[in-house]
This record gives sequence, C-alpha cells and structure tokens, in this order.
Amino acid sequence: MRNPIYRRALTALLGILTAFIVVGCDKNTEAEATSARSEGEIAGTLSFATWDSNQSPGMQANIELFQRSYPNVEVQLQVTPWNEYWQKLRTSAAAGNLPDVFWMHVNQFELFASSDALMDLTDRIGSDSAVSLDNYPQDLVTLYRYQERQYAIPKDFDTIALWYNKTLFDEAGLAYPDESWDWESLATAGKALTNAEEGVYGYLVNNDSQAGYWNYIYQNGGAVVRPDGRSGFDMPETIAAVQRYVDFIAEDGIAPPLTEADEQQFFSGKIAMRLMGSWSVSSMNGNDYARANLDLAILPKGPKTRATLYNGLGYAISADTEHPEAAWAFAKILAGREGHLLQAEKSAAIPAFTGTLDSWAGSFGVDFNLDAYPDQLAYAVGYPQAPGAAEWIPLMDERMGAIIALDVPVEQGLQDLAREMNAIIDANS
Amino acid sequence: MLRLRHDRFWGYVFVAPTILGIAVLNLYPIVNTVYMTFFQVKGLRRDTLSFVGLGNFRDLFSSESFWGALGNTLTYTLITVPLTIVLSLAIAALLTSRVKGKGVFRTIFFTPVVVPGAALGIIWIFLLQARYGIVNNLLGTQVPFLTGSRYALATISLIGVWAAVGYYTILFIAGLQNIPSTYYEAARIDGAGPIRSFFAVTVPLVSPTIFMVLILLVINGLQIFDLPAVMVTRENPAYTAVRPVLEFYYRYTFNSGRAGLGSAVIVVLLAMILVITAVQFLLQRRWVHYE
Repeated sequence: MRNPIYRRALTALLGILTAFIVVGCDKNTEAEATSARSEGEIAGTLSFATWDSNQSPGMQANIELFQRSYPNVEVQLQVTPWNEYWQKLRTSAAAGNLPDVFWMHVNQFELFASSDALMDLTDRIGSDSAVSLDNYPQDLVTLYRYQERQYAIPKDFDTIALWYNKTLFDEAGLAYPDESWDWESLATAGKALTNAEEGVYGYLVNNDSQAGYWNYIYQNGGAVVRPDGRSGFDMPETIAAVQRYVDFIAEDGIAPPLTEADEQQFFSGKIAMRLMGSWSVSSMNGNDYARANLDLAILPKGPKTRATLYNGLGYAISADTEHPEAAWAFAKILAGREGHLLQAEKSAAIPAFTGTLDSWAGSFGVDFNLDAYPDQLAYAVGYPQAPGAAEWIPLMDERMGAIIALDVPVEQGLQDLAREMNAIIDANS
Repeated sequence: MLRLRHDRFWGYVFVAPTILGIAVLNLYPIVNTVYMTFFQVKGLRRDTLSFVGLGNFRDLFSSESFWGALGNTLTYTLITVPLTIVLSLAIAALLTSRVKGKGVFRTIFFTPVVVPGAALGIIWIFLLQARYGIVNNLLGTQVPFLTGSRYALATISLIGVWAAVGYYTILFIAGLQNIPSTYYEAARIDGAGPIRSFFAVTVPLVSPTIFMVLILLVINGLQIFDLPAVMVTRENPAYTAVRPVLEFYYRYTFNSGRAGLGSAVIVVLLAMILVITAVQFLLQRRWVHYE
C-alpha cells in the first residue's frame, strides 16, 4: 500500500460506496415518510426552482406559509437567471432529476410536457376540493394543458402597458397618454417628441413579440395563431398591423431604425415612449431615473379593438419527484388564494387568483400608475399557442428582424413566415 | 522477454487513467453522437427514438438556413485564420526583438485571452452601438457594426482576431526563441537586412509553429459559437447573416429537443474538420521545415 495511486483509488472507491449507501438509506426513509399522509408527518426536502430574484421575498413568504402546516418539510429556493434556468432544467429533465417544484413558462411548456417531464396534475386537481381551476382566468389555465391534461397551475399573469417619459412630455407641452389614445395619437405625439438629429425619438419599435408587435396585431383584429390553429401571419389584418408598426420607423420617423435602436436610451431621455410588460416593474422600481421621470398608461386602442397580450407563469411539479405528496401540498399553497395574495403583497407578480389582483399595484409604494396593468385584463388576449413553439417562435423572431429592419417588404416577409410556420405546426401536430 | 512484458504492463497501468478518461469523456460521446444521427429523437428525455436512416442529414441539407450558417462559419474562418496568423507572428517578432517594455506589451496583447468570450462580446456591444456607441461617436458615423447584415459578420470576425491574437503570439514567441541566433549572424554576414532575414530565416524556421497554429485556428474558427451567440441574438436583424453552424446544434438539441438532428449538425462539422485537417497535413510537406 505504499503506492499512492492504489491508496487514492481505494479512497475513491470507498467514497463512492459510502455515497451509494447514504443515498440508498435516504431514499428508504423518504419513501416511508411520504407514505404517511397526514400533514405533520410528511417530511423531506423539496427543491423549488425560479428564475427571478426580484420575486424571492414573495416566494419565501409562500414557503413560510407552507411550513406552518408542514413543519417537517424543508423547502430550498433555488434562483437561477432566465437563460441558465432553462439550460439547467432541460439537462436535469434529460437526466430525470428536475427540481421538485418549479416555475414553468408557456414557451417551454410543450417541450417539457411532451417529454413526460411534468407531473400530470389532472386527477389530483379533480379529486382535491382545495384546488379549482375555475379560480383563474381560463386563458391562463389552458396555457398549461397538453393533450387534454393539466400540467401546471397558474401563478400570475402579465400584461403590456405604454411607458412614457413625463419630463419629455412636459418639455414638449403635450398631455400624457391616457385611455383616449389610439394609434394615431401615438404617432402625432411621437412626431412632436422626435428630434432625430439630436438622437431623440418619440417611440421605440423593437423586434419584440409579446411586448411589441403582437399587441398591434390583435388590436387590429388579426392573430398570430388563427382559431383553427393555423398561422395568422398571412391574415390581411395582421399584415396591416405589422405594416403600421414598421411605419412608425419608415413613414412617421418617430422611432429609430431597428439597426440603431437601443432600449437603454429610454432611461436617458432619448426615447419618449415604449411598451413594457408588467414583469419589468421591479426593475423600473429599482431605477432612480425611472422613478423620477417615467410613468405608464394602458395601451392605445387599435382601429378594431382594445387588446393587450397576457400570459402567465405556472407552478409545475417534476414527474420524477421523490416526494409527490409534499410537492403537491406545496404547489397547492403556492397556487391558493393566500399564496397569490402573499406574492402580490411582496411585489412579486400580479396574482392570477380571481379577486386578488388589487393587492399588487399598491405593494410597490411608488407613484407609478401600475393599475394600468391589471386594468386591461378584461380585453387581454391569451399567449398564442400552436404546436412546435420551440421552433416557430425563433423563426418568427428571425423573420421579423428582417421585416422591421426594412430589409424585406412586410407582406412578402409575413407570407413566407406564415407558410414556414404552418409547416412547423404540421410537423409537430 | 519477461522483463519487457513486465515493463509494458506497467506502462499500460500508468496510462490507464488517461485512456479511461478519454474513453468515457470523449470516445463514448463521439460514438453516441454518431449513433444518434440515425434516429429521430423527440423530447428532452431522448427516450423516444425511431430509426430514420439518413433522414436527419436530408433534413439538414435541404434547409436553406443551414447552408447559410455553413457559409457564415466558413467566411468567419477564412477571415480570422490568415489575419490571426499574420498579426500574431508580426507581434511576436516585434516582441522578441529589443523593444523596451516587452513584458508590458506582452501582457497587453495577452489580456483579451484571459477575459471570457461572453464578457468581451458584451463590452463590444456597448462600444459598437450604431447610434450611441463610443466608436461611432469618435468616427462621427452611424455604422450598424453589429446590427447591419452587411457588417456584422466582418465585425465579429475582427473581434475574434483581436481576442485570439494574444494567445497565438505567445506560441510564436516560444517558436521564435527556439531559433539559434547563429542563423541570423550568418544571414547578416551574407548581407541580409532585417526584412530579408525575417522571410529567409525566421519564417521557414518557425513554420512548424505556423502549421500548428493554422490547424488550431481552423478548428477554432469552424467551432465558433460564443461571440455570435452573445453579440447577435435572434432578435437582431443581422442574425441570419452571422449565425454559425453550432447555433443549429444548440437550437435543435437544447431548445427543441431534437437531439438526432443536433447530432447530425455535429457530425457534419466533425467531418469538415477532419477533412480540412487531413488536407493540411498532406500539404504541410511542401512548406513546413523541420530542422
């Protein structure tokens, strides 16, 4: 045993063996614990994964609420930034060790649900009187339905609003945007605010779908996905709406060309108006310039109707969780009325539970007109859904970039996009 | 005889950890990747396999955007390889001559190598912004360096050169320091000036290093991913003009859960690298001088 290689190999071997034994024991005791169904006796450790540290106080409050009834369950909150979050979740789904409970986003949902990575909640919801999907807007519930089965419960919702720079409006002697505004009021005010030579623009046109051109499409009676499940990008209403969006650059000149646009300029008084989703409020609240100069209003109405996109996150449970009872109990707390109220009071996100949404806007203690977000719920349009979102959304981003940069004519670009999007939908149906 | 076998046995024992590591970490993934190219893999768990023969390659080669990405990758390689070799050899030659503050210059040229590619990319995004970036303001222009589809690939290639030059300069400095000074003395006595002796003495004698650098640069060029991924995201109008081959691998394998198609991308790239490298090894006899 004088040879250090032998010694090291032996140590490593012993280490691995010990690890196996420990893990094995752990599994056994957990299995016994979860088989006992009464609340106080459920024990174990749940991992709970999220991507937004701004929401951690709200999530922590939910964990504490849960532990009042389940004192023997420990919950570990794991916050990972958006990009790494999905990388981590995808690889751990492949390896079968997803976190027990985690946030789900509609763009990723199909991939996870079709891979059998999520716990099917349908029967649990049906047999548990503590949960009812009627408590949430139906659009948000169906976001997390795959082949008639429910795989997540709504957590929150977001809408889009028009943010503007009060200081620039005051200097130009213009009235602030309000509910009387339509697309043309935006263009008129935008012209008065634009001074292209100085690099000051009235509006920001970016290649953003949910917080950008999608809203225009629905306000004009168009659609991203038609009711029959086909692409809506070749609808005349959609084409006209995108044309109007592009014309803010091409005709009115109130927005910088896409190749020159810089979203950060909204925070240095170079852009007077832009659209932003309610998920941006936490960061706006933490920005001194924003607090001193910016405010928001509901979206201007379109030629056909009022509309805003709305979307929501869901709470999902891993299909492979070792603690299904504890995870389900925790998800019920998170998705319950009290859980939603807690996340709203901690300024995490607009709660989706019916009758709780007033609790969010006041929680920031700032002068922003935050009610503009929940006020639009009545005419909000659910996030467009069609099979193969992981492929057609990137394709759409790619094509819309060329269209908004004026490299490709609107009609031709959208017809091509619709055709290719339909091919993806067919391949994934 | 017995003695020899005994020696050989211990030789195998000593290389076993490395061989094992390569087998588990390199060989197995390569074989598995090639295997996966023949299957349609759906979903994250990769457990729904169905045999499709060469179907993945057919899908790939019938996709216009894949050919576009192949073109982008080759263009990037064709710009970065010669520029990096010329610049790093020139800088190495200057830094081995009698210059004051050699250490300082070496550090300056090497600095970008230490910074992660993603961080470099983000800094350059700020510097090169079309309207408000410092570079355009100094030049009094509004060139969409990173958003114009005519400029973005060239911009990223130049940044790639800048980021790599320091590393290859170090390799060349090592190569140059191995050249005995007697050759230069002989050249001087024969009446060669500094430029003549650079091309007649330095270049041939450093050619093994040039060859090695060439091989490394071509492989790195074909595998480009980080700079474009950070600097020209998919919302950027220049995206299709920059998108490299590896982006397809990433998208198929990780974003849409189609690992079979993703593996096919990798196998195409691997084949390209193997062929190009093999050709380079065949051609090296004509220009690489080993002492």
